[in-house]
Amino acid sequence: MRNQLSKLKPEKLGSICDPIVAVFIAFVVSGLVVVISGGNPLEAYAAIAKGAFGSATSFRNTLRYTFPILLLALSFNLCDKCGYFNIGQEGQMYASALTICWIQRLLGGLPQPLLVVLMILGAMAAGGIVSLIPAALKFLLNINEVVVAILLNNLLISLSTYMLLYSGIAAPKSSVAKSLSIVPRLPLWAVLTAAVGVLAAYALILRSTVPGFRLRMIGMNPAFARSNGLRTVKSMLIVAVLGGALAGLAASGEILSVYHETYSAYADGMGFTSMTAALIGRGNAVGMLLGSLLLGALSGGAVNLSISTDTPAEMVLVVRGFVMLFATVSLLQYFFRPKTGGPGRRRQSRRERTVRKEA
Amino acid sequence: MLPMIQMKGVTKRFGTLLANDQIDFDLYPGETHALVGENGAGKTTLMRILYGQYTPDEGEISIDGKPCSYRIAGAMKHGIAMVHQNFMQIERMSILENIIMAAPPAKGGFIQYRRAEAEVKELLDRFLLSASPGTQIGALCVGERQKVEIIKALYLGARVLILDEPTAVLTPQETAELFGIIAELKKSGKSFIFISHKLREVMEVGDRITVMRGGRISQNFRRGEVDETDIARAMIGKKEISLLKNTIHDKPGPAICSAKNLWYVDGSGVARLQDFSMDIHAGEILGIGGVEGNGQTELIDLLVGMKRASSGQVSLDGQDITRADIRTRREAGIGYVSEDRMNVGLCLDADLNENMICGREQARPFSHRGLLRPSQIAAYVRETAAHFDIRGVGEKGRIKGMSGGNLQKIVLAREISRGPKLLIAAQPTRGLDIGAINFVRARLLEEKKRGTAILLVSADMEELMSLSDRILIMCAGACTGEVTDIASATEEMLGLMMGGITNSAKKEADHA
Repeated sequence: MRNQLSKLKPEKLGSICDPIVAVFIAFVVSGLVVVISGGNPLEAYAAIAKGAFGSATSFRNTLRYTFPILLLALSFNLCDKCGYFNIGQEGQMYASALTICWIQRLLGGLPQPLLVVLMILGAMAAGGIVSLIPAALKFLLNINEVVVAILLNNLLISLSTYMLLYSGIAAPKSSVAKSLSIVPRLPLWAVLTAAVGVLAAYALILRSTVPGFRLRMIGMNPAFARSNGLRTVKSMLIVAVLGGALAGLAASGEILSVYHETYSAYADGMGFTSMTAALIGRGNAVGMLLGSLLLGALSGGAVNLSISTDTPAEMVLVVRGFVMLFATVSLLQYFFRPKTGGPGRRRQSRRERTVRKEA
Repeated sequence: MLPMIQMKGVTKRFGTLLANDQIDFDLYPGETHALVGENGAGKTTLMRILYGQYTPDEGEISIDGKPCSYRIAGAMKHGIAMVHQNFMQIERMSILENIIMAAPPAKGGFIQYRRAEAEVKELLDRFLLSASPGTQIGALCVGERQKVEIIKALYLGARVLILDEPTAVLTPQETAELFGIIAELKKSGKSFIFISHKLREVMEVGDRITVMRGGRISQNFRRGEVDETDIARAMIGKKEISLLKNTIHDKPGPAICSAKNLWYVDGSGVARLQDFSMDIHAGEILGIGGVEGNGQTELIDLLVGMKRASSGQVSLDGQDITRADIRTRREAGIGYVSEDRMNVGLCLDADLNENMICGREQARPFSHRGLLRPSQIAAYVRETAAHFDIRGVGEKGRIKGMSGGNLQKIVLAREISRGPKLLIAAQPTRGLDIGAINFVRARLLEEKKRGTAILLVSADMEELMSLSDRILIMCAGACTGEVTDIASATEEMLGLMMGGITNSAKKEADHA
């Protein structure tokens, strides 16, 4: 037993250290970029930290950026478990936003609480349907879901821009692509609670329920699961819909508690940011929460960075890019692996492989 | 005479596992050195070191008396080539292209196809391969593809050919032909390292026989000095060994599973299964023999429900299950020991508990109202693992890293403890050591006694003949022979059927 424990430890330590090391290296490399562009990296990071956590308002701002990232990271991780690379989250969010706008436009007269519920459910349904399209094509016809999802993203951005300019949901008397205002509001704390609640439920379901068990088995080895009588394709399609619904939930949070309207390309970059959070979290609930918080803080601190230093706010995007890059590569494993040249060398999680393949 | 290859004190560790411990191995020009040992004895590691895939931790390799170290590309320069068990060939490319792939004769950046074709044609003729160099590799049968692999090695200038389990995919006749080729090439000074499980072949083909056990050389023999039991003893290190046999061929019970006129046509329009019919009775072990890739896999897939039959009918216990899905069939009483233990039979990344209950997670007592009950699961697994003698732990709680025998026991435990009416066992003992083989055989015989209908698909003739009550031989997707009188059957007879010569055709030939 003791023997087993001592075997366990370094591995476990590695899996915790990996993302931390990745984030650290990302910050160092980004710091170099700051130096090259004539700034002081320590000052820049201090400004970001102050902008993200310096006051109650700034922390609130950070949390505001964190919740959609967390929900989308969950969506990404859930889909990834079934081998479905959900890169279509932005498209799902646009579809959800449009749905919310149409509900406002057509059913705006309903009592507010009912309207909120309708909007959230509508957004989740829209996200689910959009997510189902590439998944169904993949699992039924073996068409690459990444291509379909990216094309679908572009299609939905265009559709959204068009509707926000020329349809019934366009803001009256506006020349920019913007929606009418969405009346019902949700407080930020409610959305945050929902996001953390979904995270906890996700972790719990995965660990100790029958559907969670099946999902884990299908995720680890679909051929094995299928031969043992699990209905893999059905499960994968359900998961794809759930993933899309989570994106819809993120979209409703954004619109109902932050923007109170929608505009063209409002979800730009959300998909990649959340993917990064999921990668940092390595599928672990706490990890994904911390990852989302980190990326939320980067977004939250960006404004202060440009206000209080000479470094532009876009520097945050550089940091985010490097975090993603280094989180993708499992560094510790690569450098501190016993040099066998044997089976260990090829060991890597399916997630990394998928990312590498898709990239 | 100077040995062509001399490995001295070669040691290789993987973490704490000592895969090769101070191995001395040499090879002289024009000889066949057979390497035998159970799985995990270190044969493959040693050969990978020789082939340049691994670098040894200690020890040295000399080639033609000169010490050297190299990687895979370098191995070829020294004239060492490996004929892998799974051919490294691109099916859509021609024989010619496959052969010249590693070193195409080029002039100014253009491949000189005409020159290459002439050279390859000559080699093909020499090995009595009638196919033209332009034929697609995929169109050849397994024996021919293996010849192409050997030709490829010769074309690239190999002096030493490492043959990794070369006969696993061959009929007895093809095996004899391969041995002929080996003998002929030896005359021209080529050397062979012959890795095999099959002791009889090793004794037939090996000039010297090295037996490995637990990462060490257990014993060296010369041709003619030994018999099978000596080698077997050296392999397992025990005095008495014998494989279990099915001795009770009593009258089987009623038909449990029947297949009627099954056809399966794959995506590219090839009929992989042609009008196949059979009945499996309660308490009967029905063996399915044949060279691999002749429809056995498709037959299993149709019975288990992995694939849908193009036409025909499958019934289990009188109930039509032709269109039923996998779960329904399993619930109706089909157990399945997959030939692909690592990918289909088990989930190596999951733990023992998960592997044991997968597919039954919703049943009592493993869950209640959708919630898993870890303590109940653990108790069940503990009991079953003890009953099936599953030992050892994998890495990080996963079953990955457990020995092949223990892994197969997990599969058997899961499938047998469900109490199946029909147990499909595909290559159930492949790659296992003798102890584990006997364990598997004992379990299958026990199931037979219990009245389970067992379908045994095996490429191992000895296994088929010692376990089956009846044998069906498949060739090109059809049943080409049935053997009901196991006692009087011979491997040669089965071999002829495997080549597609049916009972009646043979009788006609005999008459003529």
